[in-house]
Amino acid sequence: MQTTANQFKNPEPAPFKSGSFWGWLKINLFSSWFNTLITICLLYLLYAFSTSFINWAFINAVWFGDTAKACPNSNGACWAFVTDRWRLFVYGLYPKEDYWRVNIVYALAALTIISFLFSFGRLKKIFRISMVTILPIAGYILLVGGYFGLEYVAPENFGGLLLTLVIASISILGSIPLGLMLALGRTSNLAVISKVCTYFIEFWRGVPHIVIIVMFVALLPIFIPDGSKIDVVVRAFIAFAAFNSAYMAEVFRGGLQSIPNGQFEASRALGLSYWKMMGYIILPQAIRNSIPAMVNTCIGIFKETTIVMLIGFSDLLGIIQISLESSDWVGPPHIFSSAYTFAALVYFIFTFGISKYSERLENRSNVDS
Amino acid sequence: MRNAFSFWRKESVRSLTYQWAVVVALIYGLYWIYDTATTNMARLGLKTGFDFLTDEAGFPISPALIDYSPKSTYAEAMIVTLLNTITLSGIAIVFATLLGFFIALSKLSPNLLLRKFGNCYVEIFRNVPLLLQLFFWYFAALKMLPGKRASINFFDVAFLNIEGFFVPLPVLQEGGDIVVLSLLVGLCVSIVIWIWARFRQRNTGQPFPAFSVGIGLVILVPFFTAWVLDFPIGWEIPKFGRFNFNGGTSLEPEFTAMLFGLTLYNAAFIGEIIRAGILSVDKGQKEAAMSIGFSQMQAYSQVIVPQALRFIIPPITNQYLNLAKSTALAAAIGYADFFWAMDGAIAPQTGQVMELQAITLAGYLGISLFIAMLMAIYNQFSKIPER
Repeated sequence: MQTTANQFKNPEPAPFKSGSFWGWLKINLFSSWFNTLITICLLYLLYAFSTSFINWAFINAVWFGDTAKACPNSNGACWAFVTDRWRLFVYGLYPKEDYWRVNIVYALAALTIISFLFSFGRLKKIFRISMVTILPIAGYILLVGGYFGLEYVAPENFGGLLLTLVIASISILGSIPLGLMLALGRTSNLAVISKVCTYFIEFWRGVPHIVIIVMFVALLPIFIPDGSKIDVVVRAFIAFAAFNSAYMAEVFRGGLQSIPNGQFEASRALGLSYWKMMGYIILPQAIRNSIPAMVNTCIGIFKETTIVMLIGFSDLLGIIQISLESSDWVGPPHIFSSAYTFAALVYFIFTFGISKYSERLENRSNVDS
Repeated sequence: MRNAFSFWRKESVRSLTYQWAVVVALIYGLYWIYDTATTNMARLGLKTGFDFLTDEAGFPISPALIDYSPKSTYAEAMIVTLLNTITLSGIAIVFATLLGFFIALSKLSPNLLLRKFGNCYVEIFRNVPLLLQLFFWYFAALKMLPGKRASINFFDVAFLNIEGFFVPLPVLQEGGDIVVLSLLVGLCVSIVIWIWARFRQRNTGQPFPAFSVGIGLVILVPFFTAWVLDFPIGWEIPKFGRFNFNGGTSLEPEFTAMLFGLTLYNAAFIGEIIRAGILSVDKGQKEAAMSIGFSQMQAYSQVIVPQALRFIIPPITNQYLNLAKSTALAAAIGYADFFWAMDGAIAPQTGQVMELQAITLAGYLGISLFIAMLMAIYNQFSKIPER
């Protein structure tokens, strides 16, 4: 094997004009015989896949019906299952006459998303902050009830998309402050505190999430004094907050490590105390740097909420699975595949949306917002 | 400024106080938890201790890689299922890495369609929950396979149907172990040659085609021994008997669904990691390599990949750990993994949840530490020596 050439190579041909349409085609699709082959194969695959998908999802699909008998053919999707059960998927077992409460919360959530997607000039900051504070408080009052003459609805009745969103938002909101504290602890100069935080973080990160959730749901009652009781839904929330705070802590640690040492030294030289240094100088920069990774963790949390169905909660996937096994809809596997396609689409819309938002944040990370 | 509290202004005094406060609070907290737990357990009349490990398990496990029957003990059941978890993670890691590599290549390809294709793959598989994907493979895709009598036939050698994937099994006849031994010897020798070639190239700059020599050794040595011994390895091919397939071995649908789900899901992440690693190497490195006469292949294998590995290994380790942990979801579709045995089979029978939880945590932490250790060793190996 020779690593250096001992004679000049033949000159390369002049570059192809890339400005024209044909030039663009040649560069992107037909630059060599191998690429041409790949292009042809992929075009054929694309054609075959899209025609069969359109046939399956639209042309041969069954849109309405109320039992599995409505969908006898496996060559078409069974959207009848979704149109028949969509209320269950969106509201869970929430009382029918109180659907308006859930609707208001959904509307508030949509407004919050809008406040982050678009810029409203000077009002932007106030709008965002007020939405973020209003949403959890109004959400709690409206969904659980018990105040202002609203009837109490036990959290066990939450289900479907509602439960998925509630679990995801509570674990995200809970894990951010906890994770920040753990990250500060882990990067602390105090050896004991840093060791304790490190072991805490690594323990949660080393164990499967489902094991942690089962542990909290089954074993927490043994670890609290006799007489006090923690609701099973709350136990699951604690479990989610526990392991997600460990993941968030690593995100924030990355952000803290991205701050150059000079910033720490300069704030020390100005005579700032530890908390002032962190609060005024380091954390504002570190948190901004960790926003993209934080958003990715949030996507992970949103997807992870599906595992609550394994301990008997009916989140979106759980309630779809229960409906699929109910006596009306138990049937051939093609109903399953339609139902899972629908569920995948719903999850995809949320996670893909969040990831596109995070890309946008990354692209203007240098701009002060 | 000297007063009664001036000792408090000393940094060392404060830091020691804080740390002792944490230690005391931690010990008290742990003691409190231990105390409440023991009183509660005494009140509930829960059995404690690890004596149950030697009791008879009484439930079947399939697949079992080592000898196991319902008459075996709980401890043996745990080992069998732990082996299942490790096998599943190991195979899925290999497949996901290979597929991820191809996805990274397709996303870096000059072909626009191929790039878009890679992009679609990553976005779809990354953004849908793993549990949903597992359900899709197990309850929808694999259930659509034909029944036993209408099996999909692969050249009369392997058969795919709703009950699993039936594949041939190699059987060692007399002298077969010598062939296996020669394969191992070939493997060891080629690893030694590879290490020696690395050292020689590092010290003298002389390259040695260790890869092709190694491949040759691994293939030719066992082949030659087998030829001398008149091919003592036979294949046991599955045959459809009266009611079922006999001979060979089968991959259960549970295992197949897990393997598909884990591989496709994690390949999307691994593909992105590898792509980011390759892109992290400065463009000038490739240009420089090409300008001193390296071929495209050489530029990648000698210049770009060694540098990219430094960026790839930490996140890919993380992804491997995630994969190993997510095998616990196998319990949802009934594959006999470690968590399924602990939570679904042994816990209801014995009721000793505390001990079982401790063993579960220890088992998974052990797997995580093992993977982290292997990757740390590999990382040491692939480090670029800095002068």
